[in-house]
Amino acid sequence: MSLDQLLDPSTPPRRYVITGGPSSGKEGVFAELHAQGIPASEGEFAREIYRKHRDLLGRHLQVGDRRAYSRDVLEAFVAEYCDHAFGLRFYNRGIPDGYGWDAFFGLGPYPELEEASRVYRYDAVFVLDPLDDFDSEDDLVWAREREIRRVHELIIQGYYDAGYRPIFVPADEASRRVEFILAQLPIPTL
Amino acid sequence: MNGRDSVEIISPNNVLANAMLRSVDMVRPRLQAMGPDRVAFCVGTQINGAPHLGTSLVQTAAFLLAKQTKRAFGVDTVVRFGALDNAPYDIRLDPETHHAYQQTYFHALGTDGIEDLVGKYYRAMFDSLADATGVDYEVETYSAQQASPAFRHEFLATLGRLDQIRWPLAPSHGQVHLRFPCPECGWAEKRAERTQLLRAGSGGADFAAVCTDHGSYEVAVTADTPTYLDLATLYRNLVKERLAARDHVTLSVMVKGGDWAFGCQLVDEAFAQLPGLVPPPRIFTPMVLTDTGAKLSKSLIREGKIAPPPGAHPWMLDVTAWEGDADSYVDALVWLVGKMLADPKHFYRSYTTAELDKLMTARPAATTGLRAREMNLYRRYFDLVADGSKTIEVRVQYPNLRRLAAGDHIRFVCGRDDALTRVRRVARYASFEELLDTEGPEKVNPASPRDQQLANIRRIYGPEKEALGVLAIEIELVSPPS
Repeated sequence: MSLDQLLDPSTPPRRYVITGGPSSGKEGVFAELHAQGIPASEGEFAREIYRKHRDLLGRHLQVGDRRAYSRDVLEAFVAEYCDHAFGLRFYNRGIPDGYGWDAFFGLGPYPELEEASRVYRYDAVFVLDPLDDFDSEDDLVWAREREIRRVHELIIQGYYDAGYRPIFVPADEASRRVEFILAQLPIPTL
Repeated sequence: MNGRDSVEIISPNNVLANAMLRSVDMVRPRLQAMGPDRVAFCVGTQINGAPHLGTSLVQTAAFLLAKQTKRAFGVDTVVRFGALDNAPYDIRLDPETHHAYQQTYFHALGTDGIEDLVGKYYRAMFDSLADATGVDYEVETYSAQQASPAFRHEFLATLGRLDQIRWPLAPSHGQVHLRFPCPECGWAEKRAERTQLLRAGSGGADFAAVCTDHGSYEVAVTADTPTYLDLATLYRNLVKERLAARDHVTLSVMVKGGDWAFGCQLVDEAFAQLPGLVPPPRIFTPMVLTDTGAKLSKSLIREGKIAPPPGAHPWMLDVTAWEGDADSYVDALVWLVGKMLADPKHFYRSYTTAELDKLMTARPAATTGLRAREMNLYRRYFDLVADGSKTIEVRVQYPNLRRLAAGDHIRFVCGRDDALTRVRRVARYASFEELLDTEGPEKVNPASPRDQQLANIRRIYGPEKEALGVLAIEIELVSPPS
């Protein structure tokens, strides 16, 4: 099955996740997918949910607020998964991202996340390598910058824990990363 | 001033050193081609903490190169210190995206705070270097520089070729970091993930960015908008060097640590993508290396990732740990860098901490306890000082002479000759006429009539220099030429 055939909206659903830690360039990759007319998530609803929670609380979320937020994000991921019935689609993050983000805040996996990760399976997962090594030119590494690396590593671990073998996308400009992703798509042969 | 100096550096030859007799000849090609009125030796330093030996080496080299250029080529020189106050003062993560946001030193401390910081770490050293070399210096912050219309025009001119220069400026992915701090809080997305160029024209450009606390915002960059333009290292150097390259009155010579020789390859690539200008001359100073051959890194040692290398003293990592005052530190550095500059083979190379320790340990001790500031003189005036018949030296009041007082020592230098004098009195005047008429022209030059002297002095110092104020320095000979 070729990419053109996959893009045919009448073919069975194929779901591909593109994920990565902060500063891995997801915005650029999704903008490129949209520019090429390839079906892909619009925006990142985890961020919209974050803003909704923040507005309700009147402050940024703290660790104690994270579980409720995580459940809402999971619900939205599942809905996005189920809404897609035909053809190819790229997802801006996927259900197992919850493992990594929750672990970053010291939270363990919860039953609904485990269940959803088992039931709703993606056809492949692409992890964008970070666009920065987070070192400064004088070798100064900020503690906060280490957190970015840690989030990235925990997200990857979450996908391994959920039984995926991610495909890593090297740092490059967005169009070349999309080219790489499309070339690496594990598509079924007819 | 010093005892017998028997310290010997042994250096292999290399292509650059083999091409010249003096280290300072590095500036000559552009001097010959351009014929500038003066040469500015530019040193940029991140002001994010106490400097280390590598920083001091670059700064000392700038002053000594300025001194040698003045002497070798007879051109006015100055050291221009660029305080990089856009270095990150604090970093935090956006709770929503976990993108890093940074606040610069300028935004955290303000203009007065930056001035205090420069005063704390650099002012005493620069004053002392100016005294020791007779070279004046200027301080300019990055914040002041980016606010100048010329800098902003230069930046705006690059945007038309952004698609070409982004590759040399960010070769791995082509995404350059253009930071425009939020006008409300001063924080900016460090890697500019959500910063977009909306429109660009010859007179200005509009950008959109996102603040953690204040949401989306747009800024306009023109010659006169107050938008703060925080450029990442390579882009900043590109704009700064292009701006310098346009100046045909002052030749800017960039003095940089040796590790920049690699980084400048990318700046040169970006230059090549833009029309017209060629980069200004650059002089790379010796790198301070560990025993592994890696650059000495204070951060890596502080974090315990590597042990202090052999020969590394605490003051090499933090110059405030030097046991002595600023003058004694500067004297030691001037001696050390002077040894390096004495032969291009010694200057255009690197040194391990062990080798530097060996050199510094073998450094001759000061014998007289005198610290003399150096002043250059033409032969006809030097001979009058040396025979004791010239007792008034005339200078304009450069900032580095503001502390000159009775009891100080001045070593007058002419070629290989020098004469040590003691200052008896310093008198300040508004003009050269007033000085000559009050002090008496025969004390300035017993062999020349007043009007002739006035004409000669004004050939050396233009009206803008005279406007700084005029000094009559009464001197007495301590020791005749050595």
